[in-house]
Amino acid sequence: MFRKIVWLGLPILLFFIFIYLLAQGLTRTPNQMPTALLDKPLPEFSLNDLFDAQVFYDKSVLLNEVILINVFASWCPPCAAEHGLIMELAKQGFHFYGLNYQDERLDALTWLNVRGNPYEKVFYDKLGGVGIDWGVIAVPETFLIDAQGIVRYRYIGELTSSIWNKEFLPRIQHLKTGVVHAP
Amino acid sequence: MIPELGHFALILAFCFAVMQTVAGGKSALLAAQSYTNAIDTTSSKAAVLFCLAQFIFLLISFISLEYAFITNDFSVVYVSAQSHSDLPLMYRISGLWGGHEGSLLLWVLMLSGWGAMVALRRKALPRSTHATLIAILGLLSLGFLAFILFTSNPFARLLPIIPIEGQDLNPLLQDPALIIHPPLLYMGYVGFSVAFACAVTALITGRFDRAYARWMRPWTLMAWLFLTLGIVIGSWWAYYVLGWGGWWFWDPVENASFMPWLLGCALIHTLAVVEKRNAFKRWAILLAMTTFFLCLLGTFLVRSGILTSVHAFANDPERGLYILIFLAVVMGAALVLYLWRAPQIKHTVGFDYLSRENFLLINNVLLTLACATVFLGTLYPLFLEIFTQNKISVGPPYFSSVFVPLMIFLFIFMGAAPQSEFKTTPARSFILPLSISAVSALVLAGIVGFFLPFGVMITVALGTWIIFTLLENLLIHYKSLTASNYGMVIAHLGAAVLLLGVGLSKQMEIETDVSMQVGDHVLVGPYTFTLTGLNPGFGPNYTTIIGDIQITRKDKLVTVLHPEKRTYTANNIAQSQTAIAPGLLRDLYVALGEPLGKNRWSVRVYYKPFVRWIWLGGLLIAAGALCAFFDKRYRIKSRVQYV
Repeated sequence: MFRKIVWLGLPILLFFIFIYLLAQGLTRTPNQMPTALLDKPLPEFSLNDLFDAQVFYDKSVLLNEVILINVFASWCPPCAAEHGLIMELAKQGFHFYGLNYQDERLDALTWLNVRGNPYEKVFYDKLGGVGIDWGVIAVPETFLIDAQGIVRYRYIGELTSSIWNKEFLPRIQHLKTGVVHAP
Repeated sequence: MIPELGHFALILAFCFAVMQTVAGGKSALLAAQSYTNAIDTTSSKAAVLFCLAQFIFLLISFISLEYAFITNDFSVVYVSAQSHSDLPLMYRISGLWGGHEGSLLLWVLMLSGWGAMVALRRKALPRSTHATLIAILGLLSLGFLAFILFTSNPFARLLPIIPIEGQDLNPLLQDPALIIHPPLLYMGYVGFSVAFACAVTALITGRFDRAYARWMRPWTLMAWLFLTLGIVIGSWWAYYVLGWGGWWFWDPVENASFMPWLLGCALIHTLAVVEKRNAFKRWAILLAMTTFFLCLLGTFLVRSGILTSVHAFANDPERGLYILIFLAVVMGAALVLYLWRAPQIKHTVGFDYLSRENFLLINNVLLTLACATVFLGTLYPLFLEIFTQNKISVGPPYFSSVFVPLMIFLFIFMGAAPQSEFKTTPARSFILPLSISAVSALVLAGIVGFFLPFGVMITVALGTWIIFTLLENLLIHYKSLTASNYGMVIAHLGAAVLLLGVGLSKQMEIETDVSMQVGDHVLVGPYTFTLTGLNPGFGPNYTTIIGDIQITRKDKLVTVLHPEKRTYTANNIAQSQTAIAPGLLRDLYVALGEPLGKNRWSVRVYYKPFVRWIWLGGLLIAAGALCAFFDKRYRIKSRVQYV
């Protein structure tokens, strides 16, 4: 009798565990994975300029302002898709910095040439080493960094205006003014 | 007005599905209680009529939406999201299945179409069995119709502000192959609902005999044929549209269609054993159920947004939740039914080690394992992420290291199996012909091995092994071959051709990405590619840059190719149009990449030997299925008599 119950019950149990896992997958919001760096300072880095391999930057260029770092690459179609929005936002006065990730310099330059350059500075991370320090999982990603160089938010995936308005704008306003706005 | 008519017809179809289920269920129940074939003819006839009515109203609904697309009625939200008035008529028509709502409507239309076909083929089955079948198909329709009506109404209007212009169809979808790729794939997915309903019916009635298996086979073959064609065309589309020269990417959604294909293939082979030998019955039922489960799972994965993929529809979790609940209810019920009723379905036949039953068993084990590896590779990243928050991606390295060895075994057995006989095979008639084929294949591969790498040699050995054994099979049995046998030979030949195509193109291809300006040339294999010109142009809804690439071999002109880079004006999306010089023995493939400054472009130049054999093989497999479908024994009109 016991054996029978096990034999009958086990497949049904497994099936519903499977369904449960799929349901878990549904509730997951992959774009807002917590970053290990959340509320911690951005790690130190030293990268050269995309436009001039002789010029090196470190973390100090990012300080004193609320900024956004956009990780992009010329081989990444969603990066091209979000680029128009970033151009628009940069025009509105938001400070975007680019991290060109695992790319060929020539390809990246062409890519920016064709689409326009919204970034105040573009750091060139050919080997992706800095990307690993920052916990970059997929391109595109966008980091929100406060004036003290502390990571406040990270979004994985293509930036859209609704994501911008919902996730970034309230946080930026909060960082700039200290006032919490309802999203 | 017309969209409202379509919406109303959809609601009516839903009502007919309810009535179909009730009437079919009632007549099946009465038949079960009376223990005779004396059936409540009124409700069984009514079930058939309701089933046909459901199809007709869905057709009206479908045509109404198509009308909205053709007349550019942008007051319908779905039309405005998927179409544009500049779009050529052909793409406005196919725009209907370019998004979630419309493709779901096409899906239920096909589901009810399969149901109507089953309803019309009433004479071949006992009435109670037929009524049960109709009730189950009605229940499936019901689920999907409720899904459309409550979460994804394609007829919703944008009132009072009507957009003047639509947002355009995704340019990637503006391609002839993509007009037919989704319908074929859906026909396959949905077609397995008949096999599923057959399996569940067998569990309910407790009867699964040879005649029933014979009835079930052509439906399964047809569904599998459509799935094959859908996958082949999808792969062909990826090859010439995406511009990467690849034809299979192990993308989660590709895998979602490949899993039911593998199990459907196993099911076709198992049904042969049920029909001929009355064995493997429970396994066939389980396979039929699992195949359809994978079809539903595929739908869930694509439409819920749970996996990230190039195929992702605009998705929202509510829809995902609905499909998941539907999946859990349908498959959970089927599973419980299986565990409860399957012990009643018995088979008591024995067979020797060296018998076709055993070979088909091996076929099933290997195909199921292959399906399991794909399943694992597709869903493991998702599950890992749920438990550990780690994102990983399982790519081609996993699949090629796990999948390829399984396939090698499959192909070895595929060569031997047709030579075997049911029950037992005399060793003499088995070993001699196979040795001849094996030796010939090895000799041929050995000769090839002198000139080409080891992997090519293995590919050639396997491919010719199958082809030689098939030829022998034809020579030995040519007097007594049926359409089914010819179908098997053609499909297996297709598998061999596919194997050669995959193996040879993967191992001998040359891919180069170069930066070129007019006048530059590049050497790829024995060919010289010269960029002779770059000209602007325009089409109905795009502007374009056309490259002229001259290909020469030993200073003789082979052809001139014209790859394009189009920019679609409606949404400013750029897209490459590849140019291919096709050939049975090699493809020359050119795609324009990105502009690298004035008159300088990155250009992809690929030399791909035997790549065309991949799709040729796929088409042969489908042709084999079609040939088997037309076997005379599936066309027996008279009702099989039951006690």
